[in-house]
Amino acid sequence: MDVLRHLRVVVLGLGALACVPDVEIDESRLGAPRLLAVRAEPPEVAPGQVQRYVGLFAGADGVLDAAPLDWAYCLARKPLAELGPVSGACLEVEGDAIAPIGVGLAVEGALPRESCRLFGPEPPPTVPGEPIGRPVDPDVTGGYTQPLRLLVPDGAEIRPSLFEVRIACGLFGATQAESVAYTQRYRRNTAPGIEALELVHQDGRVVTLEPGATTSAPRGEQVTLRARWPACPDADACGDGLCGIDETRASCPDDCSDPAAVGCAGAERFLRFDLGTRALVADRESVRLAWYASDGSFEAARTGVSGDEALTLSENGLTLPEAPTELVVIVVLRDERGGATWREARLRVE
Amino acid sequence: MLRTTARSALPLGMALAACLGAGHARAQDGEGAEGPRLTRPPALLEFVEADYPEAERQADREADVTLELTLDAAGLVTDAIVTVSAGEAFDAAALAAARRFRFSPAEVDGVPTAIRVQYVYRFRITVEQVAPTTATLAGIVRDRRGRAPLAGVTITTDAGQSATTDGEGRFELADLEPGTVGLTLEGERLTALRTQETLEAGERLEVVYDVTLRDPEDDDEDEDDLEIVVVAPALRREVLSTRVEAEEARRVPGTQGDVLRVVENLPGVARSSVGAGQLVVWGAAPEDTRIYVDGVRIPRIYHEGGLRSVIASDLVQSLDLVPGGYGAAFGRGLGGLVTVRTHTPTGDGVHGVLSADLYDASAMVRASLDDQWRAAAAARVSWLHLMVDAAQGDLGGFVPVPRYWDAQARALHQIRAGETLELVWLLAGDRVSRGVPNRDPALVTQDLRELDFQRVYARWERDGGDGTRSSIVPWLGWDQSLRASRFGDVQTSIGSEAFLAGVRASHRTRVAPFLEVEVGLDAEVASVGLSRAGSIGLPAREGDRRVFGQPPPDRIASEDWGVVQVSMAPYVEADLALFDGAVHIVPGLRVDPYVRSASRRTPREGNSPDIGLFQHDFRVEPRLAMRWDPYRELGLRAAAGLYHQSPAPEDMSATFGNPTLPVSQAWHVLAGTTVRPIPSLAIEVTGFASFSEGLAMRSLAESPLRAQALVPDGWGRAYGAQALVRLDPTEGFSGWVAYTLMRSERQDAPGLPWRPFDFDQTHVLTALLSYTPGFGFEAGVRLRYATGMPRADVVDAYYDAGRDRWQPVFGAHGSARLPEFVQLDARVGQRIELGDTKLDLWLEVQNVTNQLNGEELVFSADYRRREVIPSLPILPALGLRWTF
Repeated sequence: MDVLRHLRVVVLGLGALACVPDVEIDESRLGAPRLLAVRAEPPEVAPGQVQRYVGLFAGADGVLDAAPLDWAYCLARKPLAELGPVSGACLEVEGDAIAPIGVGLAVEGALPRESCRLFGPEPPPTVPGEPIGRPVDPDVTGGYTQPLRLLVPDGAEIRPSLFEVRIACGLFGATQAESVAYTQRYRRNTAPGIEALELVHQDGRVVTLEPGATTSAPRGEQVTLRARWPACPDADACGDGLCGIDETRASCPDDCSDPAAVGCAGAERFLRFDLGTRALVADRESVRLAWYASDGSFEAARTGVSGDEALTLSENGLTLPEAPTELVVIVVLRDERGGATWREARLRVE
Repeated sequence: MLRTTARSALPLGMALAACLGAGHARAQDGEGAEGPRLTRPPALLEFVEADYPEAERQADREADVTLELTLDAAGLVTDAIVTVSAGEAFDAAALAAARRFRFSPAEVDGVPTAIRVQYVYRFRITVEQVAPTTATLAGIVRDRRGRAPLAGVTITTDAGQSATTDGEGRFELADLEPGTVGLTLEGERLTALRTQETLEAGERLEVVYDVTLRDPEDDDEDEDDLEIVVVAPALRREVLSTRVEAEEARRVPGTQGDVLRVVENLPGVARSSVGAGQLVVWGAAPEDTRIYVDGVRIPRIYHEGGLRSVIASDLVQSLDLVPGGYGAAFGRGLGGLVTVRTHTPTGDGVHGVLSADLYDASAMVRASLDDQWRAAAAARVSWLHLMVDAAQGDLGGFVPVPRYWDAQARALHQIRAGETLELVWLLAGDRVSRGVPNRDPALVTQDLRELDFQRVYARWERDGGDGTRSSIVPWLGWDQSLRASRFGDVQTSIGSEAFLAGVRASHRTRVAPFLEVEVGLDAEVASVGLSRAGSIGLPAREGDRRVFGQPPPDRIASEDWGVVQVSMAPYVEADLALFDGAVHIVPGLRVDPYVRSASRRTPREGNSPDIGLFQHDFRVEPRLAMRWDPYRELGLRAAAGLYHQSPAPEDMSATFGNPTLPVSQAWHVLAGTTVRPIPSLAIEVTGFASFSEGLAMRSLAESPLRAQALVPDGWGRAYGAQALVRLDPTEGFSGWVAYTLMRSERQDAPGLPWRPFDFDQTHVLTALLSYTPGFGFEAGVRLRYATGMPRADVVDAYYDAGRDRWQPVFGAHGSARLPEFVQLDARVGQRIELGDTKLDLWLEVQNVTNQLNGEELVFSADYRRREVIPSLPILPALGLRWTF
């Protein structure tokens, strides 16, 4: 027994190295209004195309209908020595690297035409006579993004925030045949959707939280919130209304003839150029959920489903407050390719 | 005016001879006879001064009375008889005094044993002169390997005066004629050695002679392989080198008996983070310090986690740390040099050691096959992960518990006297993995590190006996490493496999009485295959502004590439001794072509063929060292040298690095002094500076050129002073205080401001004290203090709405520092004799005071709160070692 006690001391000592001090903050608590998410509509466009950007600006009272968000494209490339997501110039209020879009909770802008050269696989602009520069590396989904700078009110201050919108560019490093195949088979990201937000009581009753409605729940109860999103097919099936990565206009005109057709709003399959194997591979998007509430406490501030899992839902425990109150719950769903959506619900704790 | 006093007995004139009782021990006749061996001679602990017979003193008569004393196992005198009489009065006085002597117990084969010794009790009348006309030479004779005092060594002057060392190795020769005195040292397993000293009238010169004893089985060989080292001044070519013998290093607290871990306690070495196991020497990057075992380069000295070194301590003879300014025999590194000298242990028959503690278990076995062949093998395997699983099963996945193993096998063939051939095989492996699950797939983290290496080499050495020494060490090696991590969807891996071959050869000869010359060749070929995928920002590089736990950049790339590096450096070095050896000037020159090729010049694109790259940088590296010892107690030294280093194969990626990186270079300059106020105490103070250029840094360009993610634009400088106060074993005490005051800086590109180096530590202090009073007991403490390492503080943060996380905004590099580090460690050990075997038990307690030290800064998710990751709390570790 002494040996075990001794072992425990040593192990705990070593474990101390792995013990990060408690610097946890409750990221799910809604307090003063702040930016929670940004959605691009559509979530992926080519340079020069128009997109609509919508901010989710919410506080303890719920989602705000208006906010003076100042939107701008950033045109500064990120040095390799900068390990953050963007150049520091992208956080400035104004400057050569800042191309204003507009002010408001939602704005529209045309993606800069040089996006794929500045932030994509195309060689960056060079001074005549100098060698070709290094293209930007893709993200883990094989995609590229254009940074947007937001100036967001934070109390009396204005603070910068960042959003990156996915650009429809080509490939770097692939053969011509691979590039052609990629262009033909790649399907741009479809905005995800929350199919249903449900409240599961301790006794197993399931209540769907409808937008705009207020649902009652007993105080102090430990309930489960469940977000559902549409199921996307694992394999392409001609006639299912979705133009999959293995379908073409020739092989399945029913699904692929309409260029305006919308894809699956769940965890989509998408085509990616694998840099290791130098081949086109199919992946499934992972889905992440951010949970917010004005009161009570979630088991986890963030949950999600990886691309390896076939789940179309994610659950999170919520301990309701002991005192009667009206609770605002917001769930933000993000897919791996930059799409986002959200759902607000209200609970009357009685 | 003369004054006459009676100087009664002369304890320093005591002669101990091992005339042992039958059945207890054997006389060490030097013929390698079988039987018990005197492992610890009795030492006179309590001397009783005899009454000088008044009549004899009046008659101005002096005398020597030779006694035979019988000591019991406790060291008490049970009987005394006169074997050589000097008259009744002298005999009676000597016997009366000697019967009250008390000795330390004599040990035969480690067991306290009764013993008979001869003791010469000298009655002298001392005449003190107002104006002295004679000098005294006193000192200690020690075994060079273990610094143990040697009893029974007779020091004889050319004039015939002699003294024999006592149980503490001390001797004293009084009334010597001033001037140069020739000395001969003779003793058991020590063939007569010659040296000389210069004495002045009235001077009492204290010296320490470290001598190398013959191995028992070598007793019938000639004296060519004998060596004497006069400690003050040290006749070493490196002007700044700290050597620690294995036996001393084993007792250093905080090392758990691991000899090589003593390096981190030496001056010039910064403290590395717990678990890092890195060597930061004189402000150089850890990978810039080279580690050699018997002249063969190995990739690292410690296993992952820094808990253990990769070589069994029982096979380590000594280690040297040369933080800079080293000679022409070594190169290819901008930083310091650690050289480990291993050996095949001696001894008759088959013996071994079994060791175990909380980290690992190990075994070593050695055997002497005959007079010419002996062999040894050692192996170690960690079991800490089993302990963790047993004690805290659910912790295993979170704690990066290192798993490691190493093995060594070696055989030595004594070709002839002074000529040996050794075959050695080294192996080491490491595995560390950790995973932290999370309900959010973007926050799942995993880490995996693997490292294996093997070395096979032959070491041929010949000592010609006339000052010539030759050695050839051909070697083969294999390294394999893998570092993989996952942070959410971002997976990063970098793996490499290297096949190496090399040869190190040297020949040193005395071409004139004042000149020795060494010529040699240091050749190495490495063929490395590498594969890397993932973020360019991971693993982090020196100078990166990031915080612990920060997700890596999520832009990814991938590449496989190969690198071949060839270096074949001939060198020459001379040792010019002037003014009777008081001045040594050691110029050296090393020529290295630094040839290398990379398999890919540009990143892979489509199906275009790979175009390789061949480069060479012919570099001439001058080295110069000077030592001046104007007095025995004072030495001055200085050194300077130019050093180069090939780019790391990992940095020669067309995607992640730059295949055209040139060799980087550094100048080392140092000057210092050594003062020995007494023979057992040395004080070294050294000022140093190093200036490096061509360091590979991340490109700062917004649009870097292809294949130039790294650029050789970095500059470095480190400067400061280090001090070492070292107490050689004296009355059971030994230790040192090492202090380094240093500033190490980097410049990421010309014109940019200098910033502190990531491992910069302004003050590094290590104080060690070990106490070995005898009876197998040992105790020691270690105190460490170090300034915290610099970090870039987080001055602001912004919300990244796409990734749903806060991103830090950093201040200047070095705008924050980790808290200072203070830790006290303690160690106690006891040796227990178990028949013919010995059992060593030790207990080490790290951080005795449970000081709350910090290892890294950590921030809340929104970067508004900052805390410190604590270092080890109070941590006891128990170990045992059974020697048979």
